[in-house]
Amino acid sequence: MTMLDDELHAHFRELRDDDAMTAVSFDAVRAVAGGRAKRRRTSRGARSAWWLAAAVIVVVAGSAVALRAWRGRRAGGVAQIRLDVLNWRSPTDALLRQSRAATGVSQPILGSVLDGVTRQSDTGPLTIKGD
Amino acid sequence: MPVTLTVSYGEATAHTHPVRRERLDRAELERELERLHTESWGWALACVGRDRDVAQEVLQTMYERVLSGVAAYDGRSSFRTWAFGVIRLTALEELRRRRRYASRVDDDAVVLESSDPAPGPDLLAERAERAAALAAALARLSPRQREVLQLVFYHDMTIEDAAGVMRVSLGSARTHYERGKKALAALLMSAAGGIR
Repeated sequence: MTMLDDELHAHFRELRDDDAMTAVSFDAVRAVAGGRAKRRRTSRGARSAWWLAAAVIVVVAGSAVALRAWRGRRAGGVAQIRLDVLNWRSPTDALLRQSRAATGVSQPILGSVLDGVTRQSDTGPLTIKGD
Repeated sequence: MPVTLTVSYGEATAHTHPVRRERLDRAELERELERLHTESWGWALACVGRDRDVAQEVLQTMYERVLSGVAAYDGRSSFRTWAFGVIRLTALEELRRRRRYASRVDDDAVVLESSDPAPGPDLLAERAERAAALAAALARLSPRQREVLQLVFYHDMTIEDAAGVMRVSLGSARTHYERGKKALAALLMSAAGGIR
């Protein structure tokens, strides 16, 4: 340690002694700090409660909106099904609207049954298409 | 009770340490704070340009953080090194907060400069004058130089411990120490015609 170090130590020691004489008391500082720490804990608890309440409100509101939307979609789907049933027609529905006489006569074209067979005339024999 | 943990305050909070977590209880913390109180007061004064009101506010905030568990001592360094680090950070925050407030208010009455420890009627003794001259000379050094000199000469810390408090490398602390010591000696000599 140099002489300069010794001298600086001496100067700082004097400053330290002066500071010690004018220091605020530990009890005073601790009392204020303790009070603040207590308030901090209290406000932290209150803040947590507010956050919890806000979270619950958000969840409930979100659930309500989602439920409402789901119910709306469901009601629309049922209505569509009802409409489809009302509009449905049987494939043979046309037969019901023909007279009894017309119903007894065979239809001129039944392509799905007599595929490839055509009538040349009312009196001629049946021929195969392509002959 | 052995304490084997990390410092978890400020940016070090997220740091995880693989050792067993064991905290000082509140009574032990209070005992440690009381034991260090006078030194903490001196360090707080140094950190805020020797303004007593600000130093008191800093200590109150620091104690509050320690007692409420916001600043947790984990035993990675000595309690004093850790506590001084917390005081330093708290002082920096407090000074920043007051600067923001002063710039917002724009009122001459709220100017919060470092108090000038000019000797009053009760401080005419040579010893008090020297202490005041030292404080004034310290105020003219850079913050880092002031911090390392205060920690080494006022608090009798090693440069390594001072580096821990200042959160700088040992080499950097040593550089600040050497340069600060020369600058302080020159300032004291020019102010008082040499160190007596």
